[in-house]
Amino acid sequence: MNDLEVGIYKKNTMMDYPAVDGMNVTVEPTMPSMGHGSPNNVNPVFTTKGHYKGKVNFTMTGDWRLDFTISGDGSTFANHAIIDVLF
Amino acid sequence: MKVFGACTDRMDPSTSYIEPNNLQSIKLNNGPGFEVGAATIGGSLNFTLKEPEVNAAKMLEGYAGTGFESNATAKQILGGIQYSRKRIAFTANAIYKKAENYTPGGNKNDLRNSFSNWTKEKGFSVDENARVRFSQYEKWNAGFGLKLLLNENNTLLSNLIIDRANNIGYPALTMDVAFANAGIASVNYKYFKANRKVQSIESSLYFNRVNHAMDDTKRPAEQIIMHMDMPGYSWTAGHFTKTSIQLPHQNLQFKIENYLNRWHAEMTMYGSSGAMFMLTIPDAQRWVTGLDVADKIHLNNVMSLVAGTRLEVNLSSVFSDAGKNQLTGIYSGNPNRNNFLWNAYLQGIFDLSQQWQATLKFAKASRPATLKELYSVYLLNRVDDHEYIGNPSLENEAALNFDASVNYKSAGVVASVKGFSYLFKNYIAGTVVPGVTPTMGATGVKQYSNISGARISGGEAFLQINPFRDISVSSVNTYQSGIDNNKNHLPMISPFHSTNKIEWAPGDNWNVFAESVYAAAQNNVSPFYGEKPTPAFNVMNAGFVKAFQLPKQRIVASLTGLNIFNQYYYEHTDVIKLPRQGMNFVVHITIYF
Repeated sequence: MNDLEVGIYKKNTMMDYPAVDGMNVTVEPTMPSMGHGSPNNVNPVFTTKGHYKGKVNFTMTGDWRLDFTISGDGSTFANHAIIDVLF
Repeated sequence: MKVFGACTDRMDPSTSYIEPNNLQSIKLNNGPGFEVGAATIGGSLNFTLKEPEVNAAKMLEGYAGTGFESNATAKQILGGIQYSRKRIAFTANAIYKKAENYTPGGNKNDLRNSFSNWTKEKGFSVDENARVRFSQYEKWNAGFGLKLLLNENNTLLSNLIIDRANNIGYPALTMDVAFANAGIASVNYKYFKANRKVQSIESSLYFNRVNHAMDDTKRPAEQIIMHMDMPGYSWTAGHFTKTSIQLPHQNLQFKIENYLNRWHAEMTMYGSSGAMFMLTIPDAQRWVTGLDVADKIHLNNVMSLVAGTRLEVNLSSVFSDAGKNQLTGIYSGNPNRNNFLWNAYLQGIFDLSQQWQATLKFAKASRPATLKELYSVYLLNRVDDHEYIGNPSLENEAALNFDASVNYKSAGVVASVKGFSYLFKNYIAGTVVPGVTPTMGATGVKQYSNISGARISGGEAFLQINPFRDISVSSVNTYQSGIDNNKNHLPMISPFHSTNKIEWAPGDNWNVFAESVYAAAQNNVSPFYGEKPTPAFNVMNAGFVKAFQLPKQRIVASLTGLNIFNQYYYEHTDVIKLPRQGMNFVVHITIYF
């Protein structure tokens, strides 16, 4: 089980990226080469200054894909935003 | 000594590292008892190794033999020697065995038509000669014993067994075994003096290590999703001391033991994007301290009692950081387990007359969850096609056990009837975990859990008669049934079996037998445990042994025909209903000198 901390910022201008608080974040890890995910993951919850803490269960080493959905105030800001990691 | 196998798929039961020519005897212990040597419900198998004989009649003696089996063209050669002097004796024995793929019973064309192509549902395939693919094996085993007589009452004994197997096919799985190696060693001290209160003291120090690696590189592409390496090891170190104390009308036995078992198993998968690594047994260890006490009390000429108990402290934990990290993926709490177990039994033996004897036994039994049940990480079980994960919060499995038997023995007739019943609490079995995807394309994921209750009961009837001086006819009949509190039939329950044998032994040099082994169908199965019904079978075996006495040597030759009507069959407890060997003729020739 691994700690997962994500930061969410909004791009206002090229110079201005304020932190976004109070979002609902879900995360689903999968292994594309194996076609499976993992149990007991904990969706990140807001802590402070745009930071969200949760847990992700990497059951083995290899290629993992983290699939994020970010929503709040009745609208979805990111649907299936993907981060690939390989370790 | 305790020996634990290293394979996560049960490819290597610890018995696979012992060969018959290492052994003096095998004893099956039912339920709790002094000889069982563990906190257990079912019992244990005790293997006694051949002991060198000090001051033997011959200074040097031995045997050499060879064997051949027509099915699987299996060959073996074996031999052993004993060197014996007044205060020292040494034995050595060795065996080499090699077998090709075997042929199941039944019509070869039917076998080819049904099983030429491998599918996951069938689970195995046959080649153009209708032989089961990947059922070959090759192994050798050597055993050594050294005995020193320190004085009349004190003996030192040392044993070593080395067992090495290569290229072992496992047709019921989609991978084989590259190698399975074991080294088993012990040093024992024995004190014995008759007609004393403290008659014997025996102390043993032992160590064994098992190394095992699976191999899928010979399998065709359709059987494997991706190549993987799955090595593992298990080692056990321990000691025990036991003593026997003779009092008027009582015999007291004490045994104290400690052992440590460590088990590591890992898996590396080679996918399209590189290697993926995980621990499948995440460096699990178990420390056991056990005390056994048994008292055999001779009350009068009719009645004896055996009362006994085992107290055990059983500590399970994960001994490496990598293992602890791996386990957090399936369990968030502290995975270490400290269990205290106590088992107790009371047996009454009633010698009613010269011919009749009856026994009654009542026991309270419990066993701790195994390391596999506590700490498995996605281990595939081919029987129900589920991956299993461990559960460190399992309760001990417990049972109340009731046993009764009536035995009759007279000139020409031996008969016995036995009945037994186990009432389980916290029966350990896999339960489906919904919503968890398996790692390797299995049907689903199960986690070991406690079922509130279950019951197993059954019986055995044995009869042997000698209608004529040289002829004996025997019949062994067994039946058992098992069901849990949710009305699911329990798995691995053999149906009714009946083995009937006729034996003709005219003199010391001939023995001829014919035997029928019948098993009824097993339809008491439940989908919950992933089992399917098994049809009935009837298999015939026959053979003879002939000994030739030479001036200084004795030659023993035997020919045995197994499954001589070439039936296609399998036992209910066989994995994936893999058929057993068809007609097989076995020849053995051994010379003793």
